[in-house]
Amino acid sequence: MDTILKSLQELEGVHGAIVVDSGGQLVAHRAHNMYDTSLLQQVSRAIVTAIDAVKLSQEDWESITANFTEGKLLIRSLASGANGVAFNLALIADSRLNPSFATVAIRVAINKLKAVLKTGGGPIVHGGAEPKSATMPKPVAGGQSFAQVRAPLTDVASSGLSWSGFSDPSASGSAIAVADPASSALLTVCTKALAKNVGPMAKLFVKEAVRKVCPDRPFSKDKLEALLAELVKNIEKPAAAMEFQKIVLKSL
Amino acid sequence: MKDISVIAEFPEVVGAVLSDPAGALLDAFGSVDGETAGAVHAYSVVALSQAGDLLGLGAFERAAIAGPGATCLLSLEGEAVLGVYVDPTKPLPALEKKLRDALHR
Repeated sequence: MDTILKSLQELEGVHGAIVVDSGGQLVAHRAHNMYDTSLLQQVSRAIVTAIDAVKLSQEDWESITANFTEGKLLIRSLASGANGVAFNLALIADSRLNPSFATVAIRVAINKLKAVLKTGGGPIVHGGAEPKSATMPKPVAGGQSFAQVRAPLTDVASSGLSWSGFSDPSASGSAIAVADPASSALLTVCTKALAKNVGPMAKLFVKEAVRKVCPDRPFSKDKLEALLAELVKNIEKPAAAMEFQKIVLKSL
Repeated sequence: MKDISVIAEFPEVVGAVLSDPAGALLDAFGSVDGETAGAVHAYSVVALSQAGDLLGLGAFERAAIAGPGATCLLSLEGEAVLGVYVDPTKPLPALEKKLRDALHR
């Protein structure tokens, strides 16, 4: 999906391309660094609010092209995904955008995105190409399917989790190891508890946090405090962050 | 306030609704539920404006909402929101210009 969004972003005048689900969640994006993930998430919600309103009078809408004094926002309806959730593509552009080229490029991209969504396959990548960018969206482990990424929160929270993928270098650059089975079990607890707050991205966040707190050695339980400090950054509400920590500590 | 009857005679125009920024119906003609459409248009413009603000795209000017059954052209006419429903088979850019010319003449 990242490749598809990248091809759109390469169009002259395009500042970013995002995929948004019908719940207002930012599913994937490829955008200029000035647009960080948090801002694009807010934009996603505004877009879905507009779409929901439009659907009241035009249920069969296919496209919304909004013109502003300094740019354009092109929104296109995509197919429903494997789990029945509807998706939309939005392109952020300035006046340099060539409408004819954009029409062709968007059609091509939509066909490809629909194919990805229909099969439920293909990796979802949250973001741009610059791995060190502050606005770098979170990469998703290679091979993780769309359906897995968009699974309902409860599915992730209640399902069994394997950490064998940690040693897979393709997961997003570097291998991660755990010191012992107890440490592995602890990571599973963290992921399930975090999933209640952030959904299917929990495992990814845990992996990233482990890489931060144990960059050069296998993760072990003695690094739990540092790990929790990293993980709570992904939870917006302080009360939920407290509850998350409580659940993890209770499992020890 | 703009008199939207100037576009009523255009063969491509199916209907039009003029509403205030809060969605209250000001004027309408054609085969459109003015009360509902007026509210929908105003609400959509607010949401799109919010997205535009966040992205630094400037002030909202107009939008085209297209589908197989209808195409709706939203624009701001002073303080009011105008939604014009047009034949979706007609080329949009030329029609948009025609409408703008007629409304701003």
